[in-house]
Amino acid sequence: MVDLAAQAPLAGRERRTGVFWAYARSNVYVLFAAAVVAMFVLSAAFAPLVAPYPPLQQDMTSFMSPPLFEGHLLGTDSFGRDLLSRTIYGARYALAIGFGAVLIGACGGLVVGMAAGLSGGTTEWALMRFIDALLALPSLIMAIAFISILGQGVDKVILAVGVALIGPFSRTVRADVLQVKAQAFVEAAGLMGVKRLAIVWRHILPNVIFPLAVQATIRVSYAVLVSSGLSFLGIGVAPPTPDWGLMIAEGRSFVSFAPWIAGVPGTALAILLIALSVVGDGVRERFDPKLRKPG
Amino acid sequence: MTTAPLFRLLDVQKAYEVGAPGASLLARTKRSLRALDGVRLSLKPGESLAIVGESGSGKTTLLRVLLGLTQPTDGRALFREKDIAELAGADRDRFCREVAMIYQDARGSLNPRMSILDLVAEPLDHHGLCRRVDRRDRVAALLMRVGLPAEMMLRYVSALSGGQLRRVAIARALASEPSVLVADEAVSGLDVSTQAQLLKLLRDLQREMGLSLLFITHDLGVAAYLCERIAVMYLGRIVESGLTREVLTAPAHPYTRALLNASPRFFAPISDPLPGEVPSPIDLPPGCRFASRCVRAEADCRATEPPLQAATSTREFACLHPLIA
Amino acid sequence: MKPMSLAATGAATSLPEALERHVEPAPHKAALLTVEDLSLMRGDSLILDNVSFMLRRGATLGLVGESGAGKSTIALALIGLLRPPEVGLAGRICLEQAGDVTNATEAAWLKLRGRRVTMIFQDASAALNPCFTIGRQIMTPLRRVLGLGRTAARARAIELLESVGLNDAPSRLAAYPHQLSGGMQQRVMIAIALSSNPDLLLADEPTSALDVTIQAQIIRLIMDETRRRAASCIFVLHDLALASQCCDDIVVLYGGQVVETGPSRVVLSEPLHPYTQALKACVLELETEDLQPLPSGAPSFASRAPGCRFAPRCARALDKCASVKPMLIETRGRQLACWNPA
Repeated sequence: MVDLAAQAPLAGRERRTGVFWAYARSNVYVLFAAAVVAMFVLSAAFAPLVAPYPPLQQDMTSFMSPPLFEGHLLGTDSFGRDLLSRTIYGARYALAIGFGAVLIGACGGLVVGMAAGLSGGTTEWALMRFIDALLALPSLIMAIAFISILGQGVDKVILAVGVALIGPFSRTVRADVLQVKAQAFVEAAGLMGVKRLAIVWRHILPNVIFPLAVQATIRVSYAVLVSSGLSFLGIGVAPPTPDWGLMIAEGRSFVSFAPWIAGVPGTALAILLIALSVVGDGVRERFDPKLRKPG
Repeated sequence: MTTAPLFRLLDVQKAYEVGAPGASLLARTKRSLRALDGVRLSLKPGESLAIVGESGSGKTTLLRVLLGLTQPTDGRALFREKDIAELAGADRDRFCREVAMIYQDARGSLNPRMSILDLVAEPLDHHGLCRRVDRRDRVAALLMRVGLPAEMMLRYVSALSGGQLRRVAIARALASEPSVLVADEAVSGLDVSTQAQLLKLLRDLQREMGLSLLFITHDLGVAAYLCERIAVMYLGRIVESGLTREVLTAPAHPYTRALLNASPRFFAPISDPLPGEVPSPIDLPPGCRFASRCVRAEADCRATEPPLQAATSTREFACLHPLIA
Repeated sequence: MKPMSLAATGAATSLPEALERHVEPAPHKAALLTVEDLSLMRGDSLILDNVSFMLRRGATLGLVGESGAGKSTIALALIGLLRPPEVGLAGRICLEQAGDVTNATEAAWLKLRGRRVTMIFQDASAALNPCFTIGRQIMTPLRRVLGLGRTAARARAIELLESVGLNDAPSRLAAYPHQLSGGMQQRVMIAIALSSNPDLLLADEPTSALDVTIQAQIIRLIMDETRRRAASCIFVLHDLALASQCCDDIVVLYGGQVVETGPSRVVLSEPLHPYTQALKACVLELETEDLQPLPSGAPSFASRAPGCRFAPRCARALDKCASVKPMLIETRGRQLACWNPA
């Protein structure tokens, strides 16, 4: 049974802010997490202004000093480099790799997933097997394989992690395409005489891109984690780049007596990942149910 | 001079092959499910026809055949005397423009990512019916014609109620300047007051614009209000058709009478309902398909399938022992 | 709603013999259920606003209104599924022999629900668990609630299925819900609901999802079975004509307020409230030539909004209507809440 109202009042501009504050009140955690992410992004963007020391500057007089020691807020590592500055610069790499890899994965996944969802017969079968092959390998293993071909370096890491993400993205895109294809408005457009390509462009693509964007937000944290894992294993970015995974690996030997060398980048990584996940979940909750709302 | 009919169905059959129920995995026996079994129908310009049936009657399959979404396995489905399945090029464009469909699920039939303006203007753009400068005015006029404020074109589907969306769907159907409106249960599932508004709108539109209307419904009251002709379907065949007023005041086929009795009317006691359920359409027994539930069934009913015979020029029914002569 | 394989095997359902033994006892004067000034708040919304009605033993009552009027809410409150602290309840619900159950605890409701008060829902396919056989679903309440042993429960289950018109009951017991058609599933729901011989059966739009010929069968079945057991029945309906056919008394709701209530024959043959009149005018009969639709609008559920909720859409509204809520007053054989009736 559908509702009574045939005349819903048209919402004015002032209603939007009301809606925002209502959302804010009920989703405090998401907003707090978004603020944390924003803080990371801003400090990474303005790193030269925010960081107290250059990240590569070594000071052997105060090496391995604990946090809150003269002038070094978060201590120094075994080369005397300020950890706070290195962490701030490290955020640049983490975020660049995270977003860059997701961008590559999402674009690749969009192309493959749309092709798989829209085609039929042998093409679809072949594409599905291709996606299955991509999904069969864990992302980390696949990224390692790509690094071994491409070599080390930030751009290579972005490419490797991005390609490794194409599999999961294309799976979700294909599922969305199949779902959208079955909707009545696609059939209605066909009945109107709209050509197939126009239907894909005007009706199917917009309804697939939106859930894809939401998925991408969720996967950024995963991309950051994979890249940090690669760096920790020593096959991601090359030293002395202030990448968090690398810094954790470097601090491994000193964990018993200078735990802050690994602890500071580790904590920063954990906080960023949690914040990204919470924001991703919040975005999904806010936008997904509307898309999947039945008539 | 008789006007040529817009739609004509000549002994249309639509059969599906299904696995026999209860058969083992390796069994190769296939049974035939006749969703439509010999349907003869025509729709003239300006005419309104209601197709009435319950679930399993084949009315949805009939609709899909008329729209060209499925091809009949036997018989011919014609639009302006041409096979619907073989329409191509200019004929196909003409068909798409002249036949406009209103879905039962109005919300599902409208792209949630498009504004109301774009949704209603889509047929205008596609068929090139107006210049770009006139686009907004045309959409505004269409929205007002269906009783919605013109400002609504800036909004999106998620902001509108079910009743408003039905009107948008009607506006979009009218945008292509069709000759036939096809509606599949377009007013079911609505509150009675919203339903009344939409029915009044549809009837006014149909009369003013001289549209043909093909309305599929299970509600006899809606059929009586909206359409001058009615066709009652049961298990893939039309069992009775004629002028709505005549058919519903003096039904010839026992199924039509059972439908009338079952429709709620004020203070009418619930008379003996039709016994049993609709039998499965897979491999029907010979004879009249209604015989298993008919109180008037006799021996010959179970032996021969009654043909659809014309009693008068406007009345047809398929019954060996009809209720009227 | 799809014809299922069991129907195809030729096991056609037949009208229950109960129709032959059709008993029509006159409803008693005694009240089985009294609802007095029931109000229900959810958050800031006042979903029900001082709803009052009475149900006699052995009678059928129809709760009629459009969607959002609060009819299903009342039904859920009457079976104790809407209680504090999820919602705020004020007023009284009095059930014979149980007293005031408005603020009864869950423990108290467990003794009533499924025993004295049972409910059937609109979508039988959603209400039946697809993982269990029909037999298991009927026998579980028989064994848990009524305490019957295995063989006794099975025998009773077969008896119940036959009484709701499903022949070949033993094979039905072994079937799964998806193997039955919509009408048959609803009959199973009715059998489960009647298994404890309840005093009150609540039916929330039991036939809206069914074909019209099956609807007639199901309504007839519910009426006959409740009459046979001298139970009372409350129907939640949106179809006024159907309400006139199957309900002795009727309560017309708009926006959570009762606008008119009384014997259905009196209320529906000559409605006095503008909303009831408008609703009746919207019902399509075969002879209807002209429809006079109601102007659009939705009722406001704001708790502090005074007055009659129908006033914004009412052609006969006075200034008083928007500010002072009319009381239910006995007028010409029914209770009417209107300052300016026709």
